[in-house]
Amino acid sequence: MNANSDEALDALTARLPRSIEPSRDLWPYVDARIASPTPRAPLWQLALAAGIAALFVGALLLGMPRGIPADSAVAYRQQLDAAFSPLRQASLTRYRARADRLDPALRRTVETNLAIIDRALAEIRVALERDPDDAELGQILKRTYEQELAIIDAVTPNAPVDPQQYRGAL
Amino acid sequence: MTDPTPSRWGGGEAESIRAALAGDRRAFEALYRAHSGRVHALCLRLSSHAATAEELTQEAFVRAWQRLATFRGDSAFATWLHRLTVNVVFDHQRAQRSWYRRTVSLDDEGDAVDVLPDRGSAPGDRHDLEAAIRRLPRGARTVFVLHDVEGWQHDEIAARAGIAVGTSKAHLHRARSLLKEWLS
Repeated sequence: MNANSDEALDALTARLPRSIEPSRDLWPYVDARIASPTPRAPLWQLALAAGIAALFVGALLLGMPRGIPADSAVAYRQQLDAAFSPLRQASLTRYRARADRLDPALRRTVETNLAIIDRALAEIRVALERDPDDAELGQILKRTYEQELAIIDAVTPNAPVDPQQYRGAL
Repeated sequence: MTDPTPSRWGGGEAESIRAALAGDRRAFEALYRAHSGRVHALCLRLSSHAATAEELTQEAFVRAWQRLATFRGDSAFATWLHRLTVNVVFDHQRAQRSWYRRTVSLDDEGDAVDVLPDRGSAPGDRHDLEAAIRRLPRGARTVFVLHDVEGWQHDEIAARAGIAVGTSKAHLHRARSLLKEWLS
């Protein structure tokens, strides 16, 4: 059947399935996210953290050329890794130092989330190896890093970074 | 908007909604199971990227959980959920455009691919149409999916997307012309 007329295109469109199941069950990911309401740190801490983070990430990005050319997806990802790596290390160290003092249920939720994010990061890196120029994957990588930081910041005091604040910098 | 799904605000779904509003995640899982396929189909067709569609599907349900109290039952739950999903996709696309502007400087139609769809199946079948929809420029794809697949009217598409009604009609015309050309 060709679709070289409006009627034929309409007929084909009407045959499209209304429902397409995802390739994997997404419910565990949704459940983990809705199960972990994120208590916020005091505002003065977040403001201070945001300032430090903005300075830190901004300094890293100063060396990044504006208006990056065609291979920018790879360059951007390298910038992301460079920017987030020390933040992730510091956040995870802070979390491990306080994990024993968390409510057991909250700790389970946090660690479920962190495990999901860890798997997601691994999957993103595999996908990036296959398609290193995919700009959208770079963006997903950035959001995944941000989610990891946000989870840790929500349950640890003196959070050095508020991902909502530095989101605009990257 | 014409909702092809009959109203589901009643029976077991109403109980699930009420229980979810009270914080019952198992009840919300029932809603997820009932609607995830259609939400994912919408995200997949609008984003044209499998991994992004799954991420957007998750985001839509997280936002639905957070905003469930705003569902008053004056429309079908599916209608409410699909509108919310479209907002999630639009938010994602706006963020993406902002990111592109700061980095790779792609224009709004940067994902336009004016090539023939893959020919893995007989020309003109629905698999071809799915592939062709994925290859449409973003604006044309968005309007085609919302208007021709989901049954929205141009004025609602224009309001949600922040474009003029005439722009929405132009996008649809371009989408249909490209699809007919590719699938003929």
